[in-house]
Amino acid sequence: MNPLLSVQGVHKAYTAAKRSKVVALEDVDLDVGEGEIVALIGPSGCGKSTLLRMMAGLDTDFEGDLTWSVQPRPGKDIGFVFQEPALLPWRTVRRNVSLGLEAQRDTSQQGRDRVSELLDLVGLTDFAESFPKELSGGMRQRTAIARALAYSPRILLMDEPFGALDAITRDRLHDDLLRIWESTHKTIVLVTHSVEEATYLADRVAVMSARPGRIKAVHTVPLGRERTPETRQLPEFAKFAGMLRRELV
Amino acid sequence: MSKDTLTRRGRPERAVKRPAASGLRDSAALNRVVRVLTPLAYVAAVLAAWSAYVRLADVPSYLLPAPGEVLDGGLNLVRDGTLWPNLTYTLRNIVLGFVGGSLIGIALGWVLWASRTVREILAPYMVLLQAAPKIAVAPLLVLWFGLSTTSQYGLILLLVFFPMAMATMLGLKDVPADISSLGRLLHLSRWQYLRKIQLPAALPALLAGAKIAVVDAMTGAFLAEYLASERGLGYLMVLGNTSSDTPLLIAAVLITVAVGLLGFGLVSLAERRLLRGRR
Repeated sequence: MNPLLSVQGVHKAYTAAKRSKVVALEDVDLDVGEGEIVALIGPSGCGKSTLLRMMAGLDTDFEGDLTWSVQPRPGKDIGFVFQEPALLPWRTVRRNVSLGLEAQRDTSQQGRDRVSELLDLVGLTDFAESFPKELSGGMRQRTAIARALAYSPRILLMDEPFGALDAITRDRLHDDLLRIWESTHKTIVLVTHSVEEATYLADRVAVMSARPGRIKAVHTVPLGRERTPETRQLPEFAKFAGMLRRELV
Repeated sequence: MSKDTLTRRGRPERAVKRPAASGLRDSAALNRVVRVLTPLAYVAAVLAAWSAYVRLADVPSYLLPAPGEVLDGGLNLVRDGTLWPNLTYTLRNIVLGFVGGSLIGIALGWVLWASRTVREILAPYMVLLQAAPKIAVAPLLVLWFGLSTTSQYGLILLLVFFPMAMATMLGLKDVPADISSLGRLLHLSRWQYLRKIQLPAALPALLAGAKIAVVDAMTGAFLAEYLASERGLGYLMVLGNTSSDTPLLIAAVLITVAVGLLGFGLVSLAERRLLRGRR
């Protein structure tokens, strides 16, 4: 397998208050395959968000190598979803989603069609001309996901994207994300602190530990790609989630 | 038969609903009437108290003329054609000073936001300049630039640029961390970032600054005319004062207040229009 992204020997330290040295990440190795969903899970402060920001190119202050099979083009190949939707309140849903295309000065009909398709995919066609303040939390995060996909990035990076949502909305967005994956087969790296979320969504789960942040183990989820709400009831699901939970403590 | 009972049953229901709905409409209309009438009643009460005080306490006209005399003074200004040229002169100064000062302020605010070095060098001087009372700076400007429009504009710009520069600097800082990360991810150019993200994000702060700046522009214009001009509303106040024409003085003050309310109202209207659809 030729990985899309290969993280090798990544190390990051910074000087915190009182001049104490903090090792944020130590000897991190991780491969992300094309079309794969990888979950990064770990306690808070383990550096999982830092690692994700490095992949996005938002954090360049580290040692070690990030090797891409094809170097990402700036502004085109990386879709990022933040924990908060981070929408522009003065733009409608449609104009929020098309921001990335505007940045590339893409005014083509294909671009516009793509935005409409994505709005359809996340179920927001009827709200395309609404402003973010008129939407529920779940709808805002769906808008943010559509925005990250609008310019067809090669990889979708998600930083605890469902952490701020209530349980019912979160379950619904999980199924939305799986549906999006079904129709796009995007590579997804997802940071989460929920073992159920990691189990339900991912192909592989990288478990991280804190201080120093390192990857403890990478597990393959023993479930087929076909996942439905019933999957959550399977004994394998509970067993795998339980194993992850034990590994986190 | 059954249809008949249905309609009969339906009728009283509708009859009950109707007065409730029209009652709602009535209370909304009443609300609107109250909203218009309250300020009018307020003005009427002040005028009545003013006129009663002047009459009962027998205040001489040169100290405090009755409302009627002030109105006559104002009408005289309109009739003999002095109001219009003076009013437009002052309005032009306010508009030019406000627009010019705002542009300077926004540009300076952007530079202050963008460069830490400039911020550290300039910030203390700007605060010092602002701490100096403008009424003390004004004679200096007259001394340097004479009784010219230069010194008048100088004073207005001096008053306007500061609130706009501060509002711009704070507004540009208002972009949340995630949204500025988004700008980097989407590889927005500096100009795209300014136009698509920073300026719209700073708009509420800019408008708040403009509200202060527009009032300051008017203060500056009147102050400049008061000190060194032969035209404008400020000059009319001086004229009323020196010729002991108190009705003229008070009429000029009231027109000035009206101009001030107009300027503030226009900025507030712009604010409501531009920020529609946000939080």
